[in-house]
This record gives sequence, structure tokens and C-alpha cells, in this order.
Amino acid sequence: MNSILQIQDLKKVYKDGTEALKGINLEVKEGIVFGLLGPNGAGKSTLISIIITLLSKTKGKVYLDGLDLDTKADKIRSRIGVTFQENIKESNLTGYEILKNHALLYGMSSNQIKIKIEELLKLVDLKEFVDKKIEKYSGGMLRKLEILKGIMTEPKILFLDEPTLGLDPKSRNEIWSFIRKLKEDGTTIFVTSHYLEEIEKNADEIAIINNGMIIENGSPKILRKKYKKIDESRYDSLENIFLSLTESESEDY
Amino acid sequence: MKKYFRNRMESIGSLIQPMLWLLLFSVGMSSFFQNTNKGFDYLTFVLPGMIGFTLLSASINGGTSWLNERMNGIVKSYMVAPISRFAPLAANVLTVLSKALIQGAIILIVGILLGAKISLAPANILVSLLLIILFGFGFSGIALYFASKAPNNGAYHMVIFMFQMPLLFFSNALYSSEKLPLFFKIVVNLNPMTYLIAGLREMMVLTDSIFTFNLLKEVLALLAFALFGILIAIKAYKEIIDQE
Repeated sequence: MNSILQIQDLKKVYKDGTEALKGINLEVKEGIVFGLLGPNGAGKSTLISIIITLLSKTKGKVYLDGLDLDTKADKIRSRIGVTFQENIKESNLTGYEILKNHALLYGMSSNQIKIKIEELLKLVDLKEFVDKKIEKYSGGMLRKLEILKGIMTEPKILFLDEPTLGLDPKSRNEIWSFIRKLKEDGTTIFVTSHYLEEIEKNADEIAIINNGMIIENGSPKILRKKYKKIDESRYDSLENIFLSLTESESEDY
Repeated sequence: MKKYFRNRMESIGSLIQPMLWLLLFSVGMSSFFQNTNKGFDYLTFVLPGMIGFTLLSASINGGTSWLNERMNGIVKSYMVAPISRFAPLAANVLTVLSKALIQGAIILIVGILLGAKISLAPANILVSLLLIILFGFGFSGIALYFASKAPNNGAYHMVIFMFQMPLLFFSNALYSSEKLPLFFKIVVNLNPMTYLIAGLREMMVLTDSIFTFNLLKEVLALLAFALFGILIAIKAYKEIIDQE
């Protein structure tokens, strides 16, 4: 399986001297669901912001789909889709118009947009609402719309920042069902989430970041096997592995 | 623009406000200014000022839209799209100018219907458009600068209104500056709005020829103002897109 994302010794130091990333090395294979886990302030947002070209890096290399971030940032932007943690509030527009405006930024024609929206609406239950203004949407519907926005332009890799945050269990289930369908269609999914049981169930591979460093990575299954050997009762779930690793990292610091 | 037209409170309000000012000043103040301004009525005198005021309001609203888009995460979604980094900024300025031109045209029509004596010679209209566009770039730039820096809407409006009223009242928009005290005259002559209004007045009211020395002075002053506005907007915008 090819790598779609390669990160080499990535560092980020903010103007105030905060060292948010201290040398990240990471590889994400194409066509998988990749979960990035970490406590608040670990560097998740900084890492993703650099990859999606929102933030400049201090040092290191990032390659996305073979493209160097230093020289091909524009081309990288045409190959990614991003669903931010916050639902973007665009008043006075319908769901259809929001999707259309977004797709126009990527150079899609009106006809292509129409066909794509019809295709995507089959994947999610939004057909009834797509022509209504988004003020009438529930939280779950807004998240689905945001994910549709991210996938409208058929990106090679879709970045999802907390896709199910604040949603009820039914909506969370629906979102993950949708994400699995996207993966089946060949999209690489890069997701961050605080819902570890969801990541454990759905991610093919994960990385745990803490204090600006990757402290563990691999498939949830292999990680559980590895830590079970150390202490079966203590490391009986991904959540406990995560808590233990991040607590011990905090103690070291 | 779609959001602007759908938001009836904004679109109708932004048209009513300058029309109200036009009516209030032309009717209320006209008796104080009877034929004191080069032999034409106050409505004709104040109409360019109202167009200038409309431009100020449109620029401020453009800054508000920009600030709201920043706060609502919309600017972020532009930043990760494969478009020029400066396209969102340019789009904002063009939206402001579009709104201002629509509003200005309506004010002009209302003014003419109320009896203002305006020249509609094509060359004069084109030069007037140039002056409006240059001023629009300048003040939009200032509005975008503060909208890029402000932490919230309250702070933005507090700062920008410190510019709006002085720009309007320390100019020749509502009255001639000839008889003002020296201090005010100096401030008026430093105010870019003065050059816009003077230029519009010359094009719309006073002259048959578009080639005057005053016009050259006005174009150069507004060009400098436009460049200033563009540069400070770009500077503030760069700080948003390059969050170090």
C-alpha cells in the first residue's frame, strides 16, 4: 500500500517560543482511516494546520500525494478536503448553495456540481433539507453537510477534525457509517477525535501525540496486543492505553 | 452578494439610511444654505456628499462581513481551497464596491427625482466612477485592516466609527469648507473624502469639461489613499494567513 502522507522531522515553534511540534515523523497509507489522538494541547491542531497549509512550519518536510508542501502547497490544496471542528455558520444560504459555493472554489462547473451533489445526497439523509437554509439544520445535519463539503471535490485525503463532537449517539453512528462508505470508495480519511471507542472501532491505524511528539503509532489491534502482553488488566482498551501513555508523558515533563 | 440581497434588513437598511440623510439634509438644512454654493440648491450640493457617505457605510459593512467570516471560520475554508491567497480579500473589496455602486446609483436617481441638477454626460460619469472606486479601495482597505485585527464586532465598530464621523463632518460633504476656521480647513484638506466629494461635485454639478487641474489633484490624492488602503489591508491579511 502506498503512502499518501509522509512527515519527516516536523517542527513548529510559535513566535512566543512555544514548541508545539518537536520533530514529528509520520506516514499514512493510502485508502485507510487514520486516527490522530492526543490530549488537549498535544499538538494535534498544529500538526493538521500545517499539513492543510493553514499554518507555516519551522522545520521538516511534508509530502502529500508525492507533493512537497514547500513548493506545491497550491496543488496540495486541490487534493485535500477539510472538515473543521466548528460548523461554519453561513447565514441566508441553503445547504445546496453552501456546497455549490465551496465546489466553485475548486473549479467545478455548475453541471458537475449538480451531479455530484445528487450523488452525495444518496449517501446521507439530507435530500429533504438540502434546499432549506442551514439555520433550520440540526447539529447532526450540519456535520453531515460539513463532511459533504469536504468530499465534494473528491479529495485524495479528507481531514476530519472531531467529526462527531457534540452529537447524539445515533448521529455519531450515521457519521461513521458515512465515513466508512467514503473509505470504501478509496478516500483516505485522517481523523482526530476524543471519542476513543469510535477510533478504536473504525480506524485502521492510529498515532498518539503528546507534548509535540508521536509517542505511539500502529493499528489499534496490534497496539492492544502489544500492551496486553505488558499488563492485560491495565491495558484492556485503547482508552486505557492512551490514558496511561499520556499520563506518563506528562509526568516525565 | 446573494447573502446581502437575502438579508433584507441589511439590504433595505443600507438603502434607506443614505436616502433618509439625503431627505433630512436637503429638506432640513436647505434653508440655511440657500444658493450659497455657486448658485445651485443645497440638494444638488449635498448629493455627492451622500454618495460619499454611502461609500463609507458600504466599506464599514464590508469590514463587518469580513470580521464575521473570520469569526465563523469561513476564511479558514478559503485558505485551504486551491485559490489565490488574496482572492478572498479582493472579493471582499469588490463586493463592497458593488454594493456602494448600487446604493450610489439609487441615491443619484432619488436625488434627480427630488430635483437635483446633475450632469449625466458619459465622460463625467466615468470619471465619477473612477473617483468612487479609488476612494472605495482606500476606505475598504482601512475597514478590512481593522476587521482583520479586531477581536470581536464590538471592538471593530468602536474603532471604525471613530473614522466614519470625522471623515464625513471634517469634509465638504455637507457644507462648503471655504468659511471654516483655519484648523478645520487644514483637517478638511487632509481628508481623502474631501477630494472625492470635490471631484464628484465637479463632475456631476460644476463643469462641462472633465479636464481640470483640480480633478488631477483629486485623482492623485485618491490614488494615494487607495494605495494606502490596499497596502494596510494586505499587511493585516498577511498576518491572518501566515499565523506565526
